[in-house]
Amino acid sequence: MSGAVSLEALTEHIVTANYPRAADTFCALLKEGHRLLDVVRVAIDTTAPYVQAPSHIMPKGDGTFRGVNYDHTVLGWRASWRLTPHLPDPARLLPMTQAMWYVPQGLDVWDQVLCEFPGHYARDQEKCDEREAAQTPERAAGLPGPTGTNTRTGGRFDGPAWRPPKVHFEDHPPLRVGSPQERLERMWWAIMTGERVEGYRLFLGLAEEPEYRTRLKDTILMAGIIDLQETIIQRGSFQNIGHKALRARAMLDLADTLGWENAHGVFYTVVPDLGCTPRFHELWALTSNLLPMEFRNWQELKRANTAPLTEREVDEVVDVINWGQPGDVVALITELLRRGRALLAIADAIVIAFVHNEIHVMEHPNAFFTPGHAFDYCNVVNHWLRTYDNPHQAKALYFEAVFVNDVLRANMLFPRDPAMALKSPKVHAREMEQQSERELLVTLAQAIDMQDAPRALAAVDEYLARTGEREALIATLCYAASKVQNDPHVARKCASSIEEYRHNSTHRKDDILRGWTKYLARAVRRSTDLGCYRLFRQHFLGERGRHERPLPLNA
Amino acid sequence: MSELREAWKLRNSLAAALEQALDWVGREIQRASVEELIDFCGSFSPGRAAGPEWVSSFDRFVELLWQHADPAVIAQLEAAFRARGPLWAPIANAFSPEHGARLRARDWRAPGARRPAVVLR
Repeated sequence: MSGAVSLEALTEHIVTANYPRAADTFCALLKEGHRLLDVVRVAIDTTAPYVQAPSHIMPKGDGTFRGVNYDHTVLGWRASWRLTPHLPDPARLLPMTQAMWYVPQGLDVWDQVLCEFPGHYARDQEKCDEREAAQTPERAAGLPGPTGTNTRTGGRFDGPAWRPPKVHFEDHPPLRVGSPQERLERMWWAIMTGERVEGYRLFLGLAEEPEYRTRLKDTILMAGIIDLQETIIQRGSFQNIGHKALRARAMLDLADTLGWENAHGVFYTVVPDLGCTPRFHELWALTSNLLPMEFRNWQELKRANTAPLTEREVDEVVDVINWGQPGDVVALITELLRRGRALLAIADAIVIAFVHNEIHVMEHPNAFFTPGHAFDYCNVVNHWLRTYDNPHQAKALYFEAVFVNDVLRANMLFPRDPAMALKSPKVHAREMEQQSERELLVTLAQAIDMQDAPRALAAVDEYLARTGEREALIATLCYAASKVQNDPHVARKCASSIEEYRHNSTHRKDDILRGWTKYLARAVRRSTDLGCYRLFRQHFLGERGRHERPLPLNA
Repeated sequence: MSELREAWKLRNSLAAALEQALDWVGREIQRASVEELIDFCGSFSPGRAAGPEWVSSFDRFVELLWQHADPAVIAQLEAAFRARGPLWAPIANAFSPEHGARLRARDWRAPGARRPAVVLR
């Protein structure tokens, strides 16, 4: 690829949804010496006006509605950035290149689902090219249609765009009237009740005041966390699978990374959407009633409860979350709190319960997708518990436990497909025993590339049993994940897994690495193409036209 | 110890009850027509199921089906669900001869056990 290399060109390629050119320009800018975070900031500022949705449910005109996906560009930037410390140079630029590759495909989602703007939702989810082809005689005959076709893939919904993306929410000035405490409370209420403009303006005003930053971060995280559906079972698109929390966390991470004075684009990307329709506060209502009934000191539980869970209690959490019903889950969390168990100890066990299912139950590639959101949501909740001090935090345990139980029960609604059954990793155990630790990492990376979950799990099992070394393993998993394009969920899963692994207090924390491995080797991928990986290698490894093969890690 | 004795008595009673239930299911499978079996399998679809726990018991039903139903009947079930398209492939695959062979191969009973080991859920 060739063309002008400038920030202006990058901006142009982004808004025209020309993702290969945008990623190519991004790499060229970095090679020219531009600071990575400066380029990221330009990209985020460019996309901010175009990633809002009027609503996340869209009326279909017949009295029913459909869901509208949440922006994932900001999730990609945040997650990719979190992976960079775990990779050697120049590999650390691969996840960032993937984030850039994705961004132009994720604009104006509302119009993408209507087949009125190109991007990965229009191309892959809505199959707009196929739908259009079926409606246009010329296209049905294989001739160029009236709007032209894209020579790269043959589909115009792969981009570039034929018109600018729409702005569904205008930017607004900060609102600074009232004391900070009053403004925090108003902001919280505005987000809960869907007053998007007021919530956003109040946030912008508070963001200018560093002395209130910790409280602002705490409040905005809580606003995201408590907006969660009670169940996804038989709810169709009437759910948010934790996106409000995931986006709030991404915003705070990126603002801290870029500097709050440089983060307006990040705020514009995330805050207005926190109050977007639909909003779900049933679990907030449940916990707001339940906790005061059970605990006179419910606001003090974080300080009062300090005991770890016994191994038997961890087993109990695993059992009930995997196989119990929502009422059982609520009762168990209450019981553990009554026994004086620490909030974070319970939260860690919930994570172990999730990865138990991932390792031992999930088989079909599609079965990982929605549950992956619950795992990432747990990571946001646990980060909130670890980082802030808020009287409502005991409630969050119920949110994450119910959410995990719910997505696992939702998987149960689909009978297992014998054709998708996985072999036991044990069939590869003998082979793995013969390999050195370095060879095991190469085998692991290759098995992930080949989506061979039993082999990947056998390699990681042997590695975990053989050595206490974890950094090269984490680097291997990060690099393998970073080859996957068009999907910020993959990087997000990596970032959540690493953070939860670092903090988990149970003796089963290696299961988080096993679950992560299985996700990478089995979960459905949006693309198996390696276009972005190839571009990265051309720019940073000086390779042109070579066939891809797994890279040895220098870690 | 009397509590343990009572608990163990209950366990043995439930084992006997479970054996009776499995016998009953087996007889009903043999008695049912293909159409009735197709209709019953439909009760495991997300839209008709009583809940996730009901759907997740489908694997256990398939095991009993392969124990008690005529292979020709199972072949008709496979054909019927295969014809419904890709969404029903997991159900059709449960009735494939390969899956039946896999289930039979793993059939195991403990020494002294009256029946093959039963997975409850």
